[in-house]
Amino acid sequence: MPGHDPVDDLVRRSIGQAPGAPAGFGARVRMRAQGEMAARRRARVAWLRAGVSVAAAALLVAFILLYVDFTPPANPDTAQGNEAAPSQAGTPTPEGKRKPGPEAPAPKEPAPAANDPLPRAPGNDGPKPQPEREPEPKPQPEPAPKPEDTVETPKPEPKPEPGPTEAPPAPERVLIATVPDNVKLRLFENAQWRDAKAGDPIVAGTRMQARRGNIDLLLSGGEQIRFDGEITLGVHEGALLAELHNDGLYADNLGFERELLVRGEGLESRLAAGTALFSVSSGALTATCLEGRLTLGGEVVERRTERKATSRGVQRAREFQGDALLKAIPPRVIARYDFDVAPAGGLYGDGERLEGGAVVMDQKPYYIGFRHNATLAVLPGMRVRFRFRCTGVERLELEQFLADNTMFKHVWTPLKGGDWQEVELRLAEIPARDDADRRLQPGEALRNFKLHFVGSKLEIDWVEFVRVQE
Amino acid sequence: MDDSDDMLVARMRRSDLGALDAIVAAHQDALVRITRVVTGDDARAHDAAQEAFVRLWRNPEAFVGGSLRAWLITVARNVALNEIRATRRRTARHDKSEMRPPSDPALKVAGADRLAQVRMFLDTLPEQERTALTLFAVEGMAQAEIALALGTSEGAVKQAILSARKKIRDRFDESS
Repeated sequence: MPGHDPVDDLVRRSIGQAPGAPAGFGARVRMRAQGEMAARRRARVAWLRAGVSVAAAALLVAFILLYVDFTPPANPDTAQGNEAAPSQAGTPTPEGKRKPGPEAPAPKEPAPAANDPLPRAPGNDGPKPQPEREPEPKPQPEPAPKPEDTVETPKPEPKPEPGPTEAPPAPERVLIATVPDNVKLRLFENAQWRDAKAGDPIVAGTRMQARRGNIDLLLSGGEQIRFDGEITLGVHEGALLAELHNDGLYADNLGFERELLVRGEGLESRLAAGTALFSVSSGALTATCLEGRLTLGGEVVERRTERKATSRGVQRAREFQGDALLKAIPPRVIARYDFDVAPAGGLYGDGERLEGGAVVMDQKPYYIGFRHNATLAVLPGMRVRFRFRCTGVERLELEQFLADNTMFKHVWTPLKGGDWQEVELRLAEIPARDDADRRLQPGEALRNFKLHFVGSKLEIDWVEFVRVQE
Repeated sequence: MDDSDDMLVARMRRSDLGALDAIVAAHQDALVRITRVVTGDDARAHDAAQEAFVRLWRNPEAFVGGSLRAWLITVARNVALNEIRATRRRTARHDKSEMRPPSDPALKVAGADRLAQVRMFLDTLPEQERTALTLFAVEGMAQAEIALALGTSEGAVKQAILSARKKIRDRFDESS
């Protein structure tokens, strides 16, 4: 044991001067404990109710299986009776899921779990052809033996119940993104963690853990997120859901209608068309608004401020001071044009031609231009970038028009000719031609890209509009 | 004290709020003092101390006997350190100015008394040394109990206390 030392006295007096727990500390602990107790009681009741419901359902099913005779009478009338049943029983569901693939093309194929319920529901052989073929039974020899196969055919009938109950998980298991690498994945609640391979699909409900550094994901809905701890992504009532288990999350859903719902430590925050930072620690969820509309525990978080919520409520806003998670976030590509084919909105067609994956112009009226397929909404932090090569060009003029024909124009002299070079311009710095003080504002809609040149030849390899977190 | 703590925790397992009140009353000051030393911030110290009591309430089985005070300090300190880590990450660029008090040992605090200087020097020590010395000098905890609270060995605690004392003495010498 280190013996007594004069320093100890000084430390004792120094620290002892500071007050201990403040008044009301014990009451606050008690309040939280009571809250926990109430929550526990509610959970117990919910479990009890669920147990009772399951038991009742099981008894009902057992009763039906034991006492209800499913054997259809062996007379042709039963065919009419069956007609409706399979069509309600979800037989079309598996067909429908495969055919309207375009609605959700990628999601369904990679989701292996979704495949399980599907083959089970239809009962494979019987019901699918039946409803279609029975109206014309004569040329088909099959319907005849079916009524004799009495046991198999009717069995799908009780399955209308499993059909609807199994259906809900399917939309939940949508594809959220594909993995880069250095992520660990846990596909289900109690599954083992495993290292992700680049390109692995992340479906709703997958838990991800950053193995090192930050993980950047571009989601299939177009949103961008970055995290450095553990999250589970999913969907909830049309919103993208991110359950934050530890550390931080950056999210960007600017320009999208789908909201982002972030949950952590039993608290909730919602981001609409914006960018924000979230972090969890010690029973608290902190949310910082960078752009857009953000709420935390139902309270608004103003732009460039952060608020912290605990079970006791939402604390006052503090000015945002910066966050390491924002460092070097990759730009989010809003629109990109490689000139292997003409842009969907069309080239202006005044002599530009596509050559070897680039668009080339070497005659009057000396410009390359194309229209966006739809108008392109300007977002905060948006930039236009392009790769070009020019020959004998003294001056370049980038012109972009709004729907009302207001022109924004930037003029410059290229550094050198003959080599490919890249240019990046902040849209917010490009002035209006007729009003030098006016700049492109977030929310305004661009309808084109047009690059004039004074010289002999201009080639553009690609053009992209990106958003950079500043 | 340990016996009564054990009994109180046993009552807590039966959801007895009175037992929680008694435990809070017995340990709240020590917990707040020590978390303040760890975090250097009143609000964070209160949060961490409160969280330790709530976690005990939520899962009293986690305390398997021994020193309840050491157990609570361990939990509160871990909560505080996690919070510091999270905040430091969030405010990485502003970390030094926000998280640490002025710590230049050569800085002479005009008009500041000796006790204020001690607090300032204490803040410059590594967290483990600072906490070990506070638990020893202020809370009067035995070396073994401190080792339990900090999750380290008695030898390491002894070393930490001696090192902390020496550094504080050196700082006084430098500043005088």
